[in-house]
Parts: sequence; C-alpha cells; structure tokens
Amino acid sequence: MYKRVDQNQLIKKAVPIFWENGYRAVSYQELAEGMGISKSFLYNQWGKEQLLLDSIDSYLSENIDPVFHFIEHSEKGVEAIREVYHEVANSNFNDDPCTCMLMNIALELKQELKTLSPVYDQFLKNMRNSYSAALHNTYKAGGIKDINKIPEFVEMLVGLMFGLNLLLHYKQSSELIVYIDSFFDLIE
Amino acid sequence: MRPKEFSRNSVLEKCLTLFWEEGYNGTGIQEIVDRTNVNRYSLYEEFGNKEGILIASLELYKKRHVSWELLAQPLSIEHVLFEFYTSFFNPSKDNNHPIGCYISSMAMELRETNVMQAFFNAYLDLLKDRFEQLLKETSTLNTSWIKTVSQQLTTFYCTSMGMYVIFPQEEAERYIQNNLNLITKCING
Repeated sequence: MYKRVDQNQLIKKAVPIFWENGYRAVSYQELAEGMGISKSFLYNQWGKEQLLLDSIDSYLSENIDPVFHFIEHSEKGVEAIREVYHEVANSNFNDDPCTCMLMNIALELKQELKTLSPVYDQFLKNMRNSYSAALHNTYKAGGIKDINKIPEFVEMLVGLMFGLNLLLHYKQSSELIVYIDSFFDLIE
Repeated sequence: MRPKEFSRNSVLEKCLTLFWEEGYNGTGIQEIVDRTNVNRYSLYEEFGNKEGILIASLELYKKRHVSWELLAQPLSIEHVLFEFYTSFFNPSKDNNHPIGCYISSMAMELRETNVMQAFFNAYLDLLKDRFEQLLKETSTLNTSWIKTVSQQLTTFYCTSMGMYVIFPQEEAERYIQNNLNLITKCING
C-alpha cells in the first residue's frame, strides 16, 4: 500500500515528534496522528523502537550530515566549526527544538536501548573526522603550531557540543558565545 | 501516623533515586508512596507537592552527594579538578545511584520548567564560585583570567556530565584529563 518513497515521507513526520518530546513520553496515538496513519499500521509497519531508529537515520542525513560535510570541506578550517557553534547558540527555541535530537535521546535512554550504540558511535566518528579535517586545514594555513595537538582539540570541541546541548536551555545566547569563544581560544 | 514520624532525609534519598532512575515525569506519586512507605497526606504535609519533593531532593543532593571537599585538597589544581569531576562517575557504594550528576540529569529532563531554571542556574553559579575560590588560592592568575577559567570549568562540568552517558568510564576519564590539561595550561604558564 505504501511505497518506499512514502515511507521516507512518513518517517520525516515522526522526526519532530521524537525530537521535541523524547522517546518515552510519546504515545502510539500521537505518532499515528502526527504521521497521518492508523495506529495499527504504525504498529505493524514499524513498532515504536524501529520508528525511532529510522527517525534518527532520517534526522542524521537531513540535519547533521550536511553540517559535517560543510565543516570538512570548508576552507575556513576551525572557523567553520566556530560558525556552526555560534549558530547553535543563536538558535531560536520558538522555531526549532534546536538541541541535538540524538544527544537528547541518548541522555533519556542511556544504556537501555542497545540498538542505539552503533548509531551513536558512527555519529561521533563522523563528528571527529570532520573536525579533524577542519583542524588540519587550519594547521596547513599556520593557525595551529603542533599537528600532534589536533586530536586533543577535536575532543575538546566534541565535548563542548555536549555541554552546549544542556547550557542552551539555561543561558542567554550572548553568554554562550563568550563561553564558546573562550574554548576556541585554546586552539593555537 | 503523625506526619513527622519519618526521617525527612531518608525519604528524600529514596525519592532522589526514584526520580533519577525513572525520570521525574516518569514517577507517579503512588510510586513515591510505595517506595518511601509514607502516605500521601504526610508527604504533602511535609513537602507541599511533587515539585516540593524535587526541590528538597536537589538540595539534599547538593549538600550531601556533591564531593565539595575534594576541591579543598592540598594537591595540584589539575589533580584536584580531575578528582572532583570523576567523583561523579564513582558514586559511593552505600547509595545505589546511577552514575553522573543528579542535578544535571534533572536539568536536562526538566529544561522547560521555571523551577529548574532557577535551581540549575544557582547551582552553576555555585560551581563557578567554588572554582574561582580554588583558582584564587592556588594560582597567580589575574582577576579577569580567573573569571574566564572558572567559567570554562563550569561549562566543562556540563560537558562531562553529558559525556558519562555515552562513553565507558575509562574513555570518559581520559577525556576529562585531556580537557583539564587544555584548560589549566594557562594556569601554569
């Protein structure tokens, strides 16, 4: 009844529901309504857990991979990463859930959902690879003195995003920008 | 049973564990009653409502379970900070807490609420004050650097408490060490 392409469209409708509400708090009823399908179809076709995994896949390819791609291929090197972090700090809660869907889900489900681990590992790997590429560009341009320091800087920036994901809800954008810049200042 | 016939703190300890494991929104008042063996009436009498229990449990955690004393050790600043951050990954055996920081967990779950906005911001300010005090006592940094570094340490605190979820302990500790080295580099010149 539903073709492959339709499935992808349906999954896209589920993404904002998980993104905003997390996993546990969302009911089949809400998902079915949001996706415009019947509960029984949802139940038979996916189940909640599979739908979550498919939604995360969709979220990553639509929202995250393009950002990593931008960072990896930008000539601005580490400044491209800073741009992305500033953009996150400036994001507006009214338009967008704006914190990372995957981080939120991981915090909620912790070790409970084993099937999430490989997804997470891949996400972190892509993040590290793109940051590392950007920092190497900065090294080539003379912005980093010691090439051996790059892995440390990568870890610092990865971590900073985790901190931001929480602090975004508690601090003003202008304050966050100051914090962000103070960490970027450590890169030399 | 008269309302005061239970130990306030031992009730709060049980509620704290319950909220931490099941989430605040995932815990019903009946579960609290079952876990604490205190009836609804007495709970409301003592704490007002579920939110009152939450606040009291957060206060208790801040006072009893955050290892502030580690910040007063006569050791190098990197060492002191490392022990403080990693203490959240090694909860004491007498309480069966999950790893991480209860306050940060609640801050993540209840991020849209006024009650958590007030409490978490005050907690972050307290952390920042403690870091400032530590830097004043153990470093020769000037005032503006002390402000910057203690703010970085506070931000990094939030980072670390999120990290424990994803990384195995060993990796998380390596990560913390790496970042503290970067942040404290300027302290030692």
